[in-house]
Amino acid sequence: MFSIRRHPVFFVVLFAPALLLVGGLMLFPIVNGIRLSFTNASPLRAETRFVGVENFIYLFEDPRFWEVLGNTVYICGLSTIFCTILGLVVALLLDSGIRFVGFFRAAVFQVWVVPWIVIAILWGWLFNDEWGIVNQFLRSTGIIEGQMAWMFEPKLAPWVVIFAYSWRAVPFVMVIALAALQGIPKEVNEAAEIDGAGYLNRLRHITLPLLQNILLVAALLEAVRFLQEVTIPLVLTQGGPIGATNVLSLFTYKAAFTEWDFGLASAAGTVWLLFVIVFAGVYNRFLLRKSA
Amino acid sequence: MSVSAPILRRRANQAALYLSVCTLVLIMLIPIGWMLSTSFKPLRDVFQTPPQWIPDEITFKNYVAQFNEVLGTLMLNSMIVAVGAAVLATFVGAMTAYGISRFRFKGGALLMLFFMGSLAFPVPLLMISLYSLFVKLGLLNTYAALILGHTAVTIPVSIWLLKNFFDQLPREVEEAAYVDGASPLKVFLFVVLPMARPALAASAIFVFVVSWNELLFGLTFTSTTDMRPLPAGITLVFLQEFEGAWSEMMALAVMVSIPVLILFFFFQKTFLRGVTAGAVKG
Amino acid sequence: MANVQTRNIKKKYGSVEVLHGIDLEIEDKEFVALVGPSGCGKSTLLRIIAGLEEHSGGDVLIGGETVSDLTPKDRDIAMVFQSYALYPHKNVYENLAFTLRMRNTPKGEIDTKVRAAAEALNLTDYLDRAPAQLSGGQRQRVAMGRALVRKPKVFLFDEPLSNLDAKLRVEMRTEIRRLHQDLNATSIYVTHDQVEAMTMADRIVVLHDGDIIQVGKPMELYDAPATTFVASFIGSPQMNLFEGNLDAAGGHFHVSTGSSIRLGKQYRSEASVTLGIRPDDLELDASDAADIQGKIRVVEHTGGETLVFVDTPFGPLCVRAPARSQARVGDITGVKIDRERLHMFDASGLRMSAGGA
Repeated sequence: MFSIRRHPVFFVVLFAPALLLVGGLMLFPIVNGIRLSFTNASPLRAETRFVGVENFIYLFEDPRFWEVLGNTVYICGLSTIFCTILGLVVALLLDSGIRFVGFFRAAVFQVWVVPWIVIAILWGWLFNDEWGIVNQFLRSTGIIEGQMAWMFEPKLAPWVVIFAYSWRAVPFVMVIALAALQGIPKEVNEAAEIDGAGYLNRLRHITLPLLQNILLVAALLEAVRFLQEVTIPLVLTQGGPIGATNVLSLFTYKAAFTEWDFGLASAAGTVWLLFVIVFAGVYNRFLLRKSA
Repeated sequence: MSVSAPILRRRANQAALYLSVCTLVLIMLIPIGWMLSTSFKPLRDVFQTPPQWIPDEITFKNYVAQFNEVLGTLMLNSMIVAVGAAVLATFVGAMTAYGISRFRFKGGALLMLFFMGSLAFPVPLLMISLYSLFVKLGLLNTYAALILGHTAVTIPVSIWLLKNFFDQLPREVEEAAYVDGASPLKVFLFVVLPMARPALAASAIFVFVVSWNELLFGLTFTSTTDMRPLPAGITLVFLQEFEGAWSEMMALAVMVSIPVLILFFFFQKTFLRGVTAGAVKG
Repeated sequence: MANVQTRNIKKKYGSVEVLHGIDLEIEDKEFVALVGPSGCGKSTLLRIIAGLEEHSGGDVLIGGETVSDLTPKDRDIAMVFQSYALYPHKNVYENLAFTLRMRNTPKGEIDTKVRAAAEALNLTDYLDRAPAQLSGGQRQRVAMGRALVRKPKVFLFDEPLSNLDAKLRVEMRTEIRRLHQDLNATSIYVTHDQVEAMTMADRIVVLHDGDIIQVGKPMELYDAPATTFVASFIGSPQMNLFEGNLDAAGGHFHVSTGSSIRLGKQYRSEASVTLGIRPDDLELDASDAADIQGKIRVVEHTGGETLVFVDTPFGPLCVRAPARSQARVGDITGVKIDRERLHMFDASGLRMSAGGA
């Protein structure tokens, strides 16, 4: 609508604040962070020295770091898959012509605003080995006897985190999927019905292909958010037991602000960034349906 | 008129549908329900077997116990930071979004891609440089550090939400004002912003919720309890002193959730409209 | 045989009844148009025949057998939607093939049928295209092709041409009519456009407020509309309608301003009637033989004819005059009436027949 030639000042005024903010608080830190990954920077050290790829070599030679990467993929990956499937199922149910859709949607969406710190506290209570309602339920149905030590078993603790992540993200996927479902013209489904497709065939040939891209994008957004998430591992499980819930975000944060090793933390952060870029690229190339 | 078999089948399907929706929604709400239930129980009733959903005795003591100076300070800090970040990110976001939406220029799409991509920037990696920067600027242990930090990590979503809104806004009204002699800045301030209220609200709510949630900046950029926001304060004060008083802990959890739940209760429609409009479009 | 019958079809939304018991007989291979203003229930009736909507009472029969309990796919019908409802993620070929695949047709047969349908609709060059890459007319054709690959017993059309521009709409009218003849199927066509109904249908069903008002061949409806509603709905420009009364003998029509006109026929005397005259049955006439005098208010040249709007003591009147009429705005003119073609309606809007005492 406006041309830069006629309104150069307005153009600058509009963009300056955001560029200043994002430039100073995102772009500079990310570039500087990548630079620091090649140094031994630390607030505890007077002088910072260029050390080449030493930090990276150190990381990749450390089996603990590989374990952290494994935990991250395991926890974030499974959480993403669960929340996407569950969110889709809830959306499909809500879109099946029932009434009170607004009410159900609102009820589920409340979950999306429960603060992470609250979830951390609440999950500690739900999964409490002796009095937690999860164990009480499992005992009453006879699935287990005695106690499941959710927080103290390296095999179980990641699942506590996964349950929390999936639970909290279902509403987001549901809302997106529901909006996309409601955006499919009613006639398209009716035409398919007349063409002889039953519910499952309509789901397979019409609904899911039409939702594919938006669901995959929602899943990618959730995966990226899960990577950033740190409250539950930090507050609830403290990365344990025996490092079983030590994820990349927690590892990087602790390296930087507990051990004050900025160089090593920057290297971990850079690995993380690279991983996201490569993953998003592959994702975009092989999964997203290209529109004509 | 007798009911035919297909109609019966259809009714059974409907019933099954409602049943599964209700079940799923209830399962989703179990954690919140249990939190509320526990928060109203006296501590001795918390450890009952089998668990009681409706407390035998309802008490508000657990809540009363939370009215102390520390929680008050933390709440106030979080409120100041969240409102500050919401206003800053939304206003700056609106300017940028309007620029991308209304100026034709090469790089607009690229800029948008950069903003969205920056959501994936590892926050701890950013914090390393931000820490040194805030030390130099003397911003450590101030609200400004938190507001700026929270603004930076939420502004991409704010821009995205508002750009989608502006893209869908018919331009005729603005063009009429422009033809009538209003400068572009006036068009933006007095014509566009008032029309954008729903989208501005959606953006502000989003930023507020993220800020209310944020732990790492709070832990790192503040050093005294009187400056800490809720998540950091709870981690460092309440959880350190915790000795199994689950009913009080749940009351605390409820109280921390209340501001965002209330916000959402009233603005749910606005927020969902804002988010889904953008999401479905692409 | 694929005749379609509806017996006392009722449809309620909550407590609101939108169809009040529709009885309709559609012959095998007939092309029937359902017309009426929006909200009259025509689309609902079509969707009930398709099985997309459940009716609240009555019965639908196709080929003499009740289909009320069958889902759309078991009714052997095809439907063309106003919005076309193409599958946006499938190309033209897949759009056409979908219904055959859903019915487990062998691959080779699908290919033959899809290509034949594409050939018939001039779509062969576009089989690889996505719907988004097609023009409105091409999308419309794909929608029709999807209906005809299967050769169903009954074709249902729900305002299929309303999203097209005027020129294309006229072309597609002929094309749909041709397809109907080639396919030997029964067609039910919903439209709010009376011109479409008149030009395409064997019979027209006029619906208003959930009731059938009149069923008949196009010219029957034109020449003998059963009510004032049909009279004003069918025909363009609209029939001129005047309210007034008949004298005791039933041979003269009076309006409240005092003017009167001699009718060519005798009607039974009524206090309150409506007189209808089509613009085609009026003629500008400067001579003394004119029946009504009036002043020309508007002259519209449409090319092939001229519409002249005259203010008369009876009220405003539209006259269809020849193409190069010399009528000028402001002129005083006489208007001659074809007395053989007057329409008289009683107080409740029903057609009155002449010759009564």
